[in-house]
Amino acid sequence: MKKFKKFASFLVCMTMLTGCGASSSEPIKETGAPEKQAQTESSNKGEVTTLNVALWDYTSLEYHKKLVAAYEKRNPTVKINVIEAPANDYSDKVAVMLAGNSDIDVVFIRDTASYTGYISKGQLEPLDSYITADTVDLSAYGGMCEQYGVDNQIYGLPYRKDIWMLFYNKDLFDQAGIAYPTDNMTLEQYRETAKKLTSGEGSDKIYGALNNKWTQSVSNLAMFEGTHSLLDGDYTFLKPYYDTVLAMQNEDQSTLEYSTIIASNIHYSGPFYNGQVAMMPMGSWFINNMLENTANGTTAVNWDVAALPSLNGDIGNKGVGAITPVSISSKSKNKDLAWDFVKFVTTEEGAQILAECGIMPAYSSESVLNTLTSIKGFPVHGKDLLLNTTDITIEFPVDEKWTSINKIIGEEHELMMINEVGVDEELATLSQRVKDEVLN
Amino acid sequence: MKAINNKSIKKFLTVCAFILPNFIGLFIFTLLPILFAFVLSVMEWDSANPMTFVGIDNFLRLFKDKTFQIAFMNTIYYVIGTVPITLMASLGLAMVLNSKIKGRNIFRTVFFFPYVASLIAVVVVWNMLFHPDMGPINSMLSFLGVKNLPKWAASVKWAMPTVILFSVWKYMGYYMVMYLAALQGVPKELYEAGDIDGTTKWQRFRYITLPTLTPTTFFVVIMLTIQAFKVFDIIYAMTDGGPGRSTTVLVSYIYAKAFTEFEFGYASAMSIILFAIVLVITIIQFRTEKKWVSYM
Amino acid sequence: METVSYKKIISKVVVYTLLLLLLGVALIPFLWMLSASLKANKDVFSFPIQWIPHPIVWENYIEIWKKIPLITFILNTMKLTIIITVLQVVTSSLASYGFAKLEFKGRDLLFLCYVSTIAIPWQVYMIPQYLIIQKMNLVDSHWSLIILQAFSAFGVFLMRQFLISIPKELSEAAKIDGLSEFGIFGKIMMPLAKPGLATLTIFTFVTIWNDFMGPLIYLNSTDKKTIQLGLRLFITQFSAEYSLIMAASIVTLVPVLIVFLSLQKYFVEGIATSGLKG
Repeated sequence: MKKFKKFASFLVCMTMLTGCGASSSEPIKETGAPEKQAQTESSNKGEVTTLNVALWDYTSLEYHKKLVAAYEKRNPTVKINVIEAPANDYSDKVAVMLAGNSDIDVVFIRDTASYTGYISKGQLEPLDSYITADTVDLSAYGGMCEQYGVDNQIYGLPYRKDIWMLFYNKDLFDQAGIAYPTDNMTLEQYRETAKKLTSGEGSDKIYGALNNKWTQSVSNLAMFEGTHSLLDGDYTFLKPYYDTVLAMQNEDQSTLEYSTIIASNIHYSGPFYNGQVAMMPMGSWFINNMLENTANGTTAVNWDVAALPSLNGDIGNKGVGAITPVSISSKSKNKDLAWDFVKFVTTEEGAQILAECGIMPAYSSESVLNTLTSIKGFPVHGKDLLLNTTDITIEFPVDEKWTSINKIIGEEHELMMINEVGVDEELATLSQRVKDEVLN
Repeated sequence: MKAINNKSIKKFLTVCAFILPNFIGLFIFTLLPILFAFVLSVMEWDSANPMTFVGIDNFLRLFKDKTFQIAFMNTIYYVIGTVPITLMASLGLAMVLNSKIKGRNIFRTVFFFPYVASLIAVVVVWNMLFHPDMGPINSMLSFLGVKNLPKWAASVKWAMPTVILFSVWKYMGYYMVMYLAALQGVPKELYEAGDIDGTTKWQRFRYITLPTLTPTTFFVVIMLTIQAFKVFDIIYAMTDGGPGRSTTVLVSYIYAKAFTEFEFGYASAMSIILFAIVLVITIIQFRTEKKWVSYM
Repeated sequence: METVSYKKIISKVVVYTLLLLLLGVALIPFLWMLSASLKANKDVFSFPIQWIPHPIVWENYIEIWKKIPLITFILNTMKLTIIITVLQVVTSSLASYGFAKLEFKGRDLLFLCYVSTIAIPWQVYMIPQYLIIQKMNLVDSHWSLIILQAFSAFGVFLMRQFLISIPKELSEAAKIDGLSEFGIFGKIMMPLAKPGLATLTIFTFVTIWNDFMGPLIYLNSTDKKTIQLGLRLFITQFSAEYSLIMAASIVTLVPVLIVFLSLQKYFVEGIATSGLKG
């Protein structure tokens, strides 16, 4: 039995060694990614080089496939190996793979939280030198690229951009004899219009509006004005927006109730496709959904877009939205090639492919915009709106603290929306919690 | 001397032959990583930058962390709510379905169903049934004259009971299978002997069936407790910790800390607490296990 | 006499009513899945619940095979599930015999460690686990999942509880007859533990079949992926095709039910005790 004890203590020692070995952040280059050795060798011979690209929804989103195919066609010596994961679990998978020093070359960024996380962990390559060397014109991204910078360095170029807008069902407006929403709609008008458009009962009810369950369904109405910050621990500026949204839900009953959306797992698109919703603030990705689902017969709704309603109706060229950056892993062994791919998807060529599919590229040029807006079925007012919206604020701040703050906002948002707590009291709690738990 | 040595070596080898095939694999792929988590609990680590030793800071921080405390209490609530009910429901079902009942194979299969069916589907159905305004459950309650209908998953007060009900429903078939299998090991002779003595059904259950089932009950209680302390999937799918923090449990908080805030040291410290609780419960169970009658 | 049969009838009625009620509750999700799988996607969540789809969209059951490589996913899942289940049942029952019937120093302590490790959530040890698998060069290979899941503390615990209730007299008698420990294990214990083996088989099969996190982390190539990853392909960042998810779920549920039904014969009273007589 002594042997057994010795054996056991030996194992424990081993554990400690391996445990610490694995934890050290020294790049484990030799062992880090042996699975791709064969491919690196072949690239030395001037044959096909493989680029590992982490990307979600590759199988299901047509434009992702087209982007990759177009790049491979242009560069026959490069094989793009897509590492795919479902959108909701993508960030977890990438986090584990990067922590394990996996051979990822290019990372598509799914959300700002993981983005700042990767950067603070040194897992992304700063792109500034590449951008300067290849003289990429950042102004084509309308200032959003800089907003995604961290410590004055840029870690990713955006390939797509999403601006929030108000989607509306023209038929429902026509039936009610109400004028279509304009770009200068105030919050008060939004509420009033929604009230007028609401009719019916039960499963036949027509809702004047649908404010989806997300926190940004409310906060974007404020962020849009470009003067607020979600980082400083004072959230009282959200009061008028919550007041309006809650009044629509509780008093007017002109919106789909929050608890209903949650309890019945309603995806916002369903009621809009079915013509049960007259107005819906949503990101511009929904344009693509509408185009596709009109084409395949899921929906026959006659629709258009306008700017989001704002507090006093005067929004000028402002907008709120987000971009999706594409970055290079700092552990990549093919950084130049990775950059070439990033540049391809984020500039003119890639942008054209996205635009053809009805996706708004982050890179904007006249020809890209023309491609996008000349798609069959593209909303009539869409082009003007896109042309006008040049000053875009990002919906969530790019900051390490944001993840924790976002979680708190989410929790308190929910309590307000289910009417568990009043708005004033709740916003005070929210501010207090963020100050105590994150900013302290 | 030599003979004894040979004998003990042989015995040692026999033990190894039985234990090692499992132990080696488990050691390398589970125990080592878990030991690593133990080390992490006194470190600060974001999964990439070098770790720094912080001593018991992570544990001290738990005492000040309000969300941790809420998550801890919610977990206890969930454990107390699910373990006894699931235990009794699964045993009851197994007893009934072990007797010669018509169509018992169908019953057994269907009761196992909630465990097998995809979580997405069952959560969706459950939420629809418990829908505050339009769900059949509340319609029935209001038909029975209940005022102030509960808002179930959409209210701070009722969210946890809703999750608990769901969990009992999902897992009772699972442990029913376990009990069904164990019931096959109850020697018939014992019942026959009981028949001669003229015992009642309840006495037979109490003094013959139940004692024979103790190893299984031991297993079920421990596994239920562990599973309840580790609950994550069903909460993530049903309420995602909400409304507010009313159903935030330990592992959802651990998950958030590890995977969205990259605080692996702190997350590990929390899981050590989980480990300690389960260890204590298991030791208590172990002690009592030895006193139980059925061990032969 | 009359009162007895009267009582019996009443208790039977009560039992059957309760069972049927529970049957309904347990069946509802299945019926909902079935109904949703035959609807157009936009009608899946319409309220009040429409149990009989109108119109019935049979095409969903054709779509699922066209939209994703479902056959590949099913074959991969079957391969993984069968290999892992066999390995887990074999290694677990061997080890459980060690813990239940052999005596050695530190046995109970080691077993206690086994059980308590089940309590650690995978979220905290996933990264070190990944590092080990990666050093072994097994990422994006089925081997990663096989070696991670073939050795389980849960299986050992489960089997130990079955073996421990088998009377000692049996193995002692066998020892006198000259049977080795392996002989006792193979010829006496395992036949008696058949219900336990059946339970472990079912549990492992279901767990591996429905596993999502393991394949998510360790499998990259589409041709290696499993059903649970495949189902998520119907949910994208901007939309979710629940009708197709439900159709695919129903199809992939069939093998699990077949396994469950075919193992039911081991849950019939009397099997385990047959060895006791004589």
